Amino acid sequence: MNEAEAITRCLLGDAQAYGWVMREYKHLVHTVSLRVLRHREDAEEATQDAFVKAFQNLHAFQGGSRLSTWLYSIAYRTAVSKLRTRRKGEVSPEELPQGALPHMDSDATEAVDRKRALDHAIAELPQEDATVITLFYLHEQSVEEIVTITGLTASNVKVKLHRSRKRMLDTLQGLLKTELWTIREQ
Amino acid sequence: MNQNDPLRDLFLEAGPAQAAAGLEAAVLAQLAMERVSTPEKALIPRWAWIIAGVCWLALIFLPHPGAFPWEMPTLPHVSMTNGMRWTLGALACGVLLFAVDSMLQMRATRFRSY
Repeated sequence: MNEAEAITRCLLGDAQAYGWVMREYKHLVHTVSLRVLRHREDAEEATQDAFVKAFQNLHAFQGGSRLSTWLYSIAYRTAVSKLRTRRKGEVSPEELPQGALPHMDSDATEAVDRKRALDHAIAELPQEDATVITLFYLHEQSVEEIVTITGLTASNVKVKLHRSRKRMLDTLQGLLKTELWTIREQ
Repeated sequence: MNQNDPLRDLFLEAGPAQAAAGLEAAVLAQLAMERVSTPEKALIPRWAWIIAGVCWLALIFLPHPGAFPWEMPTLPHVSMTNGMRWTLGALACGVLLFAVDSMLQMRATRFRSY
């Protein structure tokens, strides 16, 4: 099944087709929620809400953007709304990456360590910057698409990308002693 | 930011965060529950019944203002053949059924099966 077929079938009320859409995008949509909320349970709840909203508003999807961009924008808005609600009420502590901060030594080149280091570097960024850079790198969204998702201006997105990239590289360079970072200056 | 960006490599290697295993089932269950818990609106809304009632009363009282239902005046007599009555009745039924069908279609939710 491809994306267009899935959307058509969803609009006809085919639940299985929506299951396909969810399976395709659930991890990426969840990542958007997690970047905004920084709390696993809240993010899972927001992801679920986002998929419900998306299904209920699928008729509004005009195909002017990628389905992924449309889903991410719903997820982003849902998570931000949840974040505001949370801030008004009980303040939930931000979840740092699970596990202790990686204590990198010379052989810290395992993928799991790199992932931990990356999670740590992302956690050190402000919420909006973390979301923007994740959308750019992991979700492979263009600046224009990030503008659509977040509602930020293009120049603001570029500034955030530049700033958070620099900050992450600094953090990661301190954590990962690998030649990976030597191409930073290129 | 070029394709050889180390951050890009790291992000792609790490991949996305894992969503909850039962997400699809939870979403479909929530959609089904919301559909069940949404009360169906009456086919003909209350305001339409009120307007219909007012029109009916107006039909009775306007020819003779001040009259009571039990003093209902003789309504104008329209002479028509039996065939004409059946034709008009059939037409009226057809229009009524078409209107009901259209209203039901308009009110039908787009997503029926989940």
